[in-house]
Amino acid sequence: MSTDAPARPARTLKRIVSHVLLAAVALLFLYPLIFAVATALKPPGETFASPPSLIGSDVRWQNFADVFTYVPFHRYILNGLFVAGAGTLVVLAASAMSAYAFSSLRWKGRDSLFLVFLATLMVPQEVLVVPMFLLMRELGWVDSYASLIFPWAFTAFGTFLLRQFFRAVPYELHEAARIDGAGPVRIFLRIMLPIAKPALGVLAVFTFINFWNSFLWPLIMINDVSERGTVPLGMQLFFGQNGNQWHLVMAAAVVSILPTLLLLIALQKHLVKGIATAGLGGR
Amino acid sequence: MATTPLLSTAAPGRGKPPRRKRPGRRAEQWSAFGFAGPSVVGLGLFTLFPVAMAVVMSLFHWPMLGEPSFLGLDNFKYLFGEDPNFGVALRNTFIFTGLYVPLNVIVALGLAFWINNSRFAQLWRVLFFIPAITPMVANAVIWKMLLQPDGTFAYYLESLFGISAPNFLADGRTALLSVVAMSVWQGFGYNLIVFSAAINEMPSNVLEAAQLDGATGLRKFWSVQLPLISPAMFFATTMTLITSMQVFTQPYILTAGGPGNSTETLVMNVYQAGFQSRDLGLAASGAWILFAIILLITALQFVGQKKWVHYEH
Amino acid sequence: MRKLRRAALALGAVAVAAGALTACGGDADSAGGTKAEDGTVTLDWEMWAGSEDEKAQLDHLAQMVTDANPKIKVNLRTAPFNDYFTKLQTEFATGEEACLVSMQSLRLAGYTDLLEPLGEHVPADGFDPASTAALNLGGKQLAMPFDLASMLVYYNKDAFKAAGLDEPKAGWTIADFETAAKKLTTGGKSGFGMSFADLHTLSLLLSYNDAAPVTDDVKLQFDEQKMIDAVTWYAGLAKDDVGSVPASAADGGWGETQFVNGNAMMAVDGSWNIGSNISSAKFDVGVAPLPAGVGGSKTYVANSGFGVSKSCGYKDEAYQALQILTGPEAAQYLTDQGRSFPARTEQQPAFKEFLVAQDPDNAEAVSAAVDSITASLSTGVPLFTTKNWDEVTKNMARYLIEVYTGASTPADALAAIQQQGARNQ
Repeated sequence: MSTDAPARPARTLKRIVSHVLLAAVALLFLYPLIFAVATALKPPGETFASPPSLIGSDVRWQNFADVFTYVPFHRYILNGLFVAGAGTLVVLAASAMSAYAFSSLRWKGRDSLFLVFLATLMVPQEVLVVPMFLLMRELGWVDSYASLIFPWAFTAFGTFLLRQFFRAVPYELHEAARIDGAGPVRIFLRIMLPIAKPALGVLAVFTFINFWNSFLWPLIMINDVSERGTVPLGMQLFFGQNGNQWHLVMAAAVVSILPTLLLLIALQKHLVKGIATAGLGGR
Repeated sequence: MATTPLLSTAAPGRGKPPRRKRPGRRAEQWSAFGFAGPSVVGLGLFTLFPVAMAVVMSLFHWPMLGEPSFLGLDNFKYLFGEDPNFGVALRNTFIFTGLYVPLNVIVALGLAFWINNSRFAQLWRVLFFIPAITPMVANAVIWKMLLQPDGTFAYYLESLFGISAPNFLADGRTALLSVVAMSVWQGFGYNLIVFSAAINEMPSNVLEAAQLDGATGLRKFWSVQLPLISPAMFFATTMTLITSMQVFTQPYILTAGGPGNSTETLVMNVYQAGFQSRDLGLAASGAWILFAIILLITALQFVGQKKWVHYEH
Repeated sequence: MRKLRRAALALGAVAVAAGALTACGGDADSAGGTKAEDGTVTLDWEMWAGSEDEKAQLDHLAQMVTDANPKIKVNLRTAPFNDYFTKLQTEFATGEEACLVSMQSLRLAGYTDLLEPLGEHVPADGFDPASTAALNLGGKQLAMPFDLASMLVYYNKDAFKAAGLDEPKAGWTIADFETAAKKLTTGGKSGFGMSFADLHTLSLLLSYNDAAPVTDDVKLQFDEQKMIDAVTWYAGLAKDDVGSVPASAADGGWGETQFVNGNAMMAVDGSWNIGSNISSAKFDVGVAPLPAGVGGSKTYVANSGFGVSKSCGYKDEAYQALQILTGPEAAQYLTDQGRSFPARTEQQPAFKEFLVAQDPDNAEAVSAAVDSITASLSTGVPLFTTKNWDEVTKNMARYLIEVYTGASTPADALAAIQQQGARNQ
């Protein structure tokens, strides 16, 4: 908006002041994260120096290595990547397929079923957690990767989001493809999916992050943490028996923040767009 | 681009096939089953069935080990009558929501207007968004360290303002406030982006007209800009309300519900009833009450929106 | 067409992955273990572990079982101690429990119906009687011990010297303890690191005035007058920062952490941490029995061991494995690793040797420390608890901290713990 050309000195000054202030606010806001990185590099025993100082007597990269020897953090990362990756694949496949059925195919009961889909958007995860536990018990899925992936992989949200995209496809395109002899499968794969690519990408990123950060459900489901624990569960280990070793705790926090931070930096445009246009994301 | 497609079921109608006979209707029916099948089955098994199960379970004494027995409404009676924690958890959840939602929206809105004048708007947006996507457990742990009695916050409070800091997470007067502060820091990035996008899309002709009418400063903000972004505000407050009613991880890590039960929230209560006291029926009842409250709040929001949300036509 | 095939392949891969995961998740053939075609039985073993080092020790024990019985394999499953008992409940509730279950004496009451009485299956020769007694409930030996622990006062020798205080000796009293705590509180450091954990707190209360939170027939009595008096005294330590109050109800190991970090000059901690406390503190660590109150110095004795779940499909193999896991060789191995004070009397002297070897300059003090363990064990009493003890400890954390900060009275807090605990006891 503000593209006023006249570069009056007062205006420029105001702008500079505004930016300096903004930078100060941002710095203050990011202080906890900066603090975490700084503490993660401190020698043990200096974590509660008074007055607080960001820099210890020594920069100890060793702390990060210690995180991985102290608990199997690499295992948590791999588990997290696997669960989030597989979960995202299932979400994308199921959502895209049903979005296609709900937008472009004609069948009995379509609209009323879609209303049921919409209604499930209202149900919070916490309501489902208790009966879901029983369901997992019946399926024999307690303490398995499957229990982390499937229960939350069939959200109506993905269907809803992609359906909006598919509906924008002109009917003539369908008709033309059909006249060329293309069946629904082919239309879905060759016309619809490419069109929905941006939406699929955004959905994928947010689904991945939600799986990666999830805490309550893995806390209930996973018994063998050292084998099947995800990163948030692994973080908890540092509060365990051997006292709070804050330099290691912070190093672990930094390690667990890193993947999502990289994802954010790499895909910032898509993420911002996804939130702004589709209200994606967990909050 | 609209900012609120989530809440409007009206989609662009161009893709709707015209009603006329064409060959292969039955084949289409079958392929539709194939395409919709996985989601329908998945949603039925993992959402609809558990919802129904939750109703049934809430009427039973359903221990984690052993046979369930029918109770009628006794679980609900217990929660609202004898349970020393449920009422408090309800109150704490409302206090949390009552503080968290307005603070979140105000901070997000203020910063959104501020950074929109900046050439580096995208950079600021991403910066403020970082904690929103990093694992909540990690964020909470970092704050926990800052809030230690001899930690950074206590030090600066004392050296800069001369206030002797309380033991933030152990003191009933500050524990819940600390949880709110951490949550606002963590969560407002989402709304910042939503608002920021809405501000960018304010129609320039309306703004210029207001400028000509001499509207400036607060008046311009209050009677021109705010109505223009009210759909985004509605969307953001509704979503933030719903999620804040479900707060769990922050108090679980920061305070374990204490001191006393001053930071026990509804979801913590459900978790404890179900997975620590092993009373699944009681947990299901608590979860249902949570669901009912969320539905009620959302309904009130939708009814109330007519008064303050302006959609362009 | 190629694109189509690729997409179809991708979808197929998802489906296969889904199937595979389901298969590896639903390992429902037999409770707690599996039997291979060649007759080799793999027993699941559930145990808590914090660090990789601990896990490596346990894996070594598992290997010892296979070395002794080639037809038995032990598959270790671990969870952090804080979550272990919540997880264990879930496992029993879902029929996923292991054959070999690790058990702490304090939690035994919740598992009387779920663990097989070991009786004549596993001989109890060579164990310190206190260690088997703590895992024996109602005449049934539900688990075999691997360690034996009492509670001790750990103190900062350097701080005592600097303050010109005599170091605590056997027979020191509550009054001595208070005087020391006050004198050691200087320069933002506290004399004593407070706690709300069961053994840490309750042992000191017991030594203070014989206050007991549980009756002889295992019913909660937190609101009893002696408890109120003892908690009033304990909470009084928080005055003038003499006692360092935990930062939140989520800070389980507050006192000992503050101690090791040099922020509190004394703390009550278990004898199982003697090795790690000495090695991780940057000052000289001293150890003394709990200060004597009206009835002399007292402490609860607690320990951990391994039991066999009732549902286990391979009980004979499990008994054999158990005899190795708690046998002399395993005890020797754990002692050499400095894990904790062994339950087997024959290995107990080796624990002292291990600690002395760790800190040879300090040999005299270390060996005195171990002697104080031995001394306290002879006067120690087992703490038998209710089956909802997990819940009780969580409430202790939340309500005791309120007393320490002065937000609540001892009577109110103890009444809350009692009332909520009595419902499911």
